[in-house]
Formats: sequence, C-alpha cells, structure tokens
Amino acid sequence: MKNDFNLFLSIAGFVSAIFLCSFMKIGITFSLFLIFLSLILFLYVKLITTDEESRKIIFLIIITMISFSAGIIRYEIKDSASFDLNLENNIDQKVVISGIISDEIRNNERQAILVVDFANITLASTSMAVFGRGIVSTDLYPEYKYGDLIKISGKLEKPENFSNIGEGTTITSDPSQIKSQFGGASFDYISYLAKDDIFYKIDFAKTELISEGHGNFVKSFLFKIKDSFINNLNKIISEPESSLLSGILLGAKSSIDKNTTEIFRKAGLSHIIALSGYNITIVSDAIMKVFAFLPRNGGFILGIFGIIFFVLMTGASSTAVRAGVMALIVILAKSTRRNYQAGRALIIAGLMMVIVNPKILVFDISFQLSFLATIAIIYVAPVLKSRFTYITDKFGLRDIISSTISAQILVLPLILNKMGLLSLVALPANIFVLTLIPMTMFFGFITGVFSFIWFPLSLPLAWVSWILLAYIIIVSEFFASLPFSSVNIPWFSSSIMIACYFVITFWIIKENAKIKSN
Amino acid sequence: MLKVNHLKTYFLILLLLTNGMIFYTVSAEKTNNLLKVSFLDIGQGDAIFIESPIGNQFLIDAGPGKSILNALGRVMPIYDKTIDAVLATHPDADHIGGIPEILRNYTVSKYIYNGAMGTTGVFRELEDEVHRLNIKTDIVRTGDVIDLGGGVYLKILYPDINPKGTDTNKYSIVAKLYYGNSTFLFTGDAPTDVENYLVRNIGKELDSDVLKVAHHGSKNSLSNQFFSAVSPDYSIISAGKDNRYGHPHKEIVESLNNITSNILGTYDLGDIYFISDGQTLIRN
Repeated sequence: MKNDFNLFLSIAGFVSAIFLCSFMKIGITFSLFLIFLSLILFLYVKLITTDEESRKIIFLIIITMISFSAGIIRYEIKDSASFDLNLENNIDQKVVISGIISDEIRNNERQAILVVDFANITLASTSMAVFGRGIVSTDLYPEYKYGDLIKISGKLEKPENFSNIGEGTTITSDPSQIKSQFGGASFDYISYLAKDDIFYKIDFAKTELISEGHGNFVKSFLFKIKDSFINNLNKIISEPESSLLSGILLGAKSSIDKNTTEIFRKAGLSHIIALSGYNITIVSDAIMKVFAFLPRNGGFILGIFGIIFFVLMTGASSTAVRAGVMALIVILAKSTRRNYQAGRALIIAGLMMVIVNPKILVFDISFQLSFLATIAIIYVAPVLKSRFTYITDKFGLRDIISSTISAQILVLPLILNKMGLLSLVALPANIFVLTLIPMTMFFGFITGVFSFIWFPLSLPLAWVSWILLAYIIIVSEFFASLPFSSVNIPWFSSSIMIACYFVITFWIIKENAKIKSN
Repeated sequence: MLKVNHLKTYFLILLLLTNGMIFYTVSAEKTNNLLKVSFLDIGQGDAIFIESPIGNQFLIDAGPGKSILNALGRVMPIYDKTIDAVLATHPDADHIGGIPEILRNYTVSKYIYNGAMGTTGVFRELEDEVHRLNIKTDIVRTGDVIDLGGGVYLKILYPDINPKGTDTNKYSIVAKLYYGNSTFLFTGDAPTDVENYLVRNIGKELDSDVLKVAHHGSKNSLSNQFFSAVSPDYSIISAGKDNRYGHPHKEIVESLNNITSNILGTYDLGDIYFISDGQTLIRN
C-alpha cells in the first residue's frame, strides 16, 4: 500500500507538471532548480535530521519534486522542436516546397487536406533541404495517397487559433475537419496541430505528383485496405449513410457533410464519428456480452481480436493505438472482474502515452475521451448497473445502457468545455443511438467483407446496415430539431470543468468504497 | 432451448425486414406516368435530376463536389445504384465536381458533354474515370434530341459550334426538356451573349414553364429579352447559401420579378421538386 502511494505521488507530480507546462512556459531551469533543492533535502535527511516522521514527509516531497521536474523536462524536449530557418524566414511568402504525405488524407466537400513532411524548398532556383511538417489544403483532384512525394506551390503560413465560431458560420479559409466537429467554442488550433509536430500550413495550394511510395510499407498497405473497404461501402450504401458508417466503423475522417456533422453536434453525438476509445470500448464490451455464452475465455479472446482488428483497419494511427489500448484494459477489467488491477493498468497505460507524447494530455480530445470513457466503464458502470435493476438483463441490455450512461457522465464536462454547447437531448439521444452502435458496426463490417467476396451477397446485409444507419440519422435529426435541443454555454471554462471532475472523482471513490464494503 | 428461441426471434426479425424491404421497393418503383425533375441543393453549383415516366434517370451537372452523393441519396431509392446518363453542360468544377464520385459509386451508362476540354484537376479526373470505366460518351450539338423514354425528350439548343478558347461558360450546353405540355429550360452557365443569340435565332422555342436561371443568377447572364422569351412560370436559381460570389445578384432577381413571381432558390428551399403528367405541372 505504501509503495502504491509513492507511485501515485510520482505519477501525479509528473502529470501535473505536464499539465501546467501545457498552459505556461516553465522552463528547464526551474526543473534543475527543483532537482538541486531535492538534493539538498536529501542531504539534510541523510546527514542532519533523525526524526523518523519528518524524514518520511521530506522523502515524499523529494519524490514529488523529482517527478515534477521530470515532467517539465519531458514537455520541454517535446516542445523544443527546432525550427528550420529556411522555412521560418519564408513565412507569408509564396514558396515551392516538395514533401511526402505522411498521414491519411482527409477530404472535405471542397478540398483535400494533406499532412506533409517537407523535404525541399526551392529558393531563387536553388533547392535546399528543409525539415518541418505542415498541413496543406488543395484541390480534391488529382487524388493523392499516403507516401506520395508532391510538389506544393502556395503561401507558407503559421496556423492560427480561431474563436467563437457560431452556428452557420462558413469556414472556408481553414478547412480542417476538427473545426466543424468542435466548432462551438474557441479552439486552440495551434496547439492541436503542434501535438503532431505540425507547425506550418499552406492553404489552397497548387500541387503536383513527383513520385509514389515513400511511405511506411505497412501503413501504406493498411490504408490501401481501408480505402478499398470504404469504396466498397460507398458503392452499396447511399449517402449520407455510407459516410456515417465509414466514420463510425473506421473513424474515416473524410466525407461526413457539414449538415450531418452539425446535427450530431446538436444532438450531443459528435463523438460517434470521432475516432476515440469511446466507440471501440463500447464495441469490444458488446462483443464480449454477445459472446458471453462461449466457454469462459471465448468472449474475451473475440473482444481482443475485435480491438486489434479495429486498430489495424483504421490504419494503426497513434490515436487508434491509444484507443485500442484503452479498450483492451476495459476487456481486462470485465473479464477478470478485478477493477483494482484494471485501474492500475489504465493509469500506467495513460502515463506511457503521455510520456510518448506529453502534448496529448491537454490538446488531444480523442485521448481524453478514450481515457474518460475507460474510467467510466471500469468504475462507474458497475455502480449504475447495480441500480438499474428495472432494466431487463436480456441481450446484455442493462450492461450496455449502464456503460453508455456512465461514459456520458464522464465525458460531459469535457465536451461542454470543448464545444461550448450543452446538448439537452444528449442523454436520451445517446441511449437511443449508442445501444445500436455495436450492431451497426457489426453489420456494416460484414457488409464490407462480403462485398469483397461477392457483391450481390452483401446487398441484403447492406440494407440492414442502411436501416440502422438511417435510424441513427433520423433519431439525431429528431433530437437536434427539437426546440432548445442545445444551448450555448460559452461560460463553461476549464476551471469549472476541472471542478466538475473533482466532484465526479469524489463520487466515484465514495461509491466504489460502498461496493467494496458490501 | 434458450438459444433456439433466440434463433427464432432473429429469423422473425429478418423476415420482417425483408418484407419491409419488398414493400419499400414496390412503392419506390411505382411510376404513375409521371416525369420528375429535381433541382438538387448541392451548395454553390448545379445538379438537376430527371426521372422519366418509365424510370429512366438522367442527371444534368453534378457540382461542386461530393455533396451530390447525399443529394442523390434523397431522390433515389437505396438499392438503386444506376443512372442512365449524366450530362455535363460545361467543364467547370461547380458543374462537374461531383461527376467522378458518381461514376465511381453508380453505374452510369452514358456521359454526354459539349466536347470542351477543361484544364482543371477534376476535369482530368473525370476523363480518366470515363476512360477507365469504359463509359460511352456523346458530344452533343444544337438540334440533337435525347430520348429519355416515356415521351420525354431533351432537345439541345446550344452550342452549334465546336468549343474553343478558355471561356468555358460560352459553350455551356443549353437544352430544353419536353413532356407533353410541360417544358423545362436548362441553361448551364450560358452568358448574356448566348442568351441573346438564342432569342434572335429560336426566340419562340425558348418559351418554357420552368427556367433554370443561367450561371446561378450571376450578373453575366442578365438578358431581359431572354427572360421575356422564356416567360417561365417558375425560375430556379441554383446557388449555395451565403456563397462567396454573392449569387444571385439583385438585378437578376429584379428583372425576373417583372416576368414571374415564382423565383425559387436552392439556397433557401433546399431541393426543389417538380412533377408532371404531361398535362399539368406541379411543384412538389
């Protein structure tokens, strides 16, 4: 127990340092100062004091300070990405840059959005190697793919933050999907891009293919499968249902039109089309429920396969991997029925992810959603389940509903803060929609698989998927169209959000203590 | 025992769904001898979906991008993934932007255009797809008549010469749809010059019940003579809400107001549907 407390303290120190660094510049000097201070304290404990009590306390202080400074150092290393002068000196200039497309391409209705690792810049007819990553918007055609080396001509700029984008505002200058998804409140776009080391943008660029196949072999392969999967779905299922399916099933970033996105936002359902552990957790959970009749480990193994498959299908992006790990922990918790260990696994996994990329802690809403949804299913769902005795346990319905609601409770403050929009219909809308998500994904998935085998075979399945998808859209439209379905709450600041989470944490600890004592 | 019961339930649900699907198909296929013309709301661009009384489907333009797929989802039954012909009035992105996606996701039997070569990426993509999928193409000129079946004809009124130069609007296809007493005039992005030229040459023939106002209601397609010659009961302006070109222009709306009060914009109303039995035309 004592070791646990020390571990918890050092994690808390590390994470809070990264949290603070995300908002203010602390600097490595401060962390060196802390280390120096701990050294002095250490010497004091060793050489001077003899009082056992004060020794203990000082030791705890030392642990906290050391982990805190470790957090600062980690963040500073990530943040100190060196800027290439050849790029920095040409900001707001027309440039010709060549680079490799380093991520899956997103299309919106009008443009293709590419993430490009710059390789060369042509200045006054001399070509120079450059280092940097930028987000490039260009015409939809010709179509590029991951790993293409392209020539880009356009104005090199730094991304800008945007604020208070209300409903109906057209966003043309900066065509990122995230904007339409989280468009309610002001949004720290610079940091959002910086977490993926994107520091530049070129809008409305003219582009030209130089050569193909410079990407990672495995990734290219996965994206290729994903693309043909989505293409097949598009052929069998009409729009907007097919885009919705690609969004739910594969976190496909393209194609869901603005209207539909807005409807989901109002109905409090945006998360179903954003790639996060939220979806996958619910799905893996459902897989286990449905196959619970299999001998002891059957459902568990199928659940794990489901997750691995999902992660691969989405192209194994870091977001998807993180979501997958969270979902694995949920499965672990469910099958072992040992919340204590699952909770520890979750904290360690979360810590690892933050160590790998400290910027996700504050700037990656997908990570935050995944983490919270996982906590919800491990700690909150059992509490609710014990109270929902009036809901039938058939088809695992009670489980699914308590998972859904608990996830809702935990992500609500975050969503309120990020989107500045309180969907008053979110809870019923989520219950009506989320309970059918696993089935929708299942049918959507086998529709896609069968379409590869023999097209006509997939048609009946496509109709079933279509009915489910159309149902989701109709329900969302209905809830979004209700008067007062959503209210703007620009005042829901980060401090209110944090206060909410303190209250929720307190409630979780209290309720779980109760369960334990029973 | 329990599992068997479950199977029965699932089977029952499946049968019910199949039943529903059959009813849906039957009701969707009922044609009633009606011509349906839909001006689709696809943002800043044109897209007109025509279904003849015998069910042939015809699309005039499909711009500017993927939103056409959503729009087709609204007017076509879910199992229907074929379109008989797609006509591109001219190779601008707000008219052909969605055609590559349509060719990929629907089986299109024929591609009809004016022979003009575009220079944009989307035009090249469109050409590649037409080639790759081996789609029959037709270049049309003044006087050509396309039979849509069931007594519906589309008569090409313009262009009468081979397109050249960079002004793509100048050779935009102008065509008139006939079904009994009901007539529609589709103008693409035809500029004022072309409108006046048509008034001089075939003035009488322009008279139509429904006019698709040229060039999304831009100032460059303002010909009062043309409007009087067409004397439409309904004028449709296909443009995006709050588009950056300021379409439709006030002058256009004003001069149309002198001729007809029924000015309908896709930017206000979304999709605009008409049906006709050959005698009477109603907005649906």
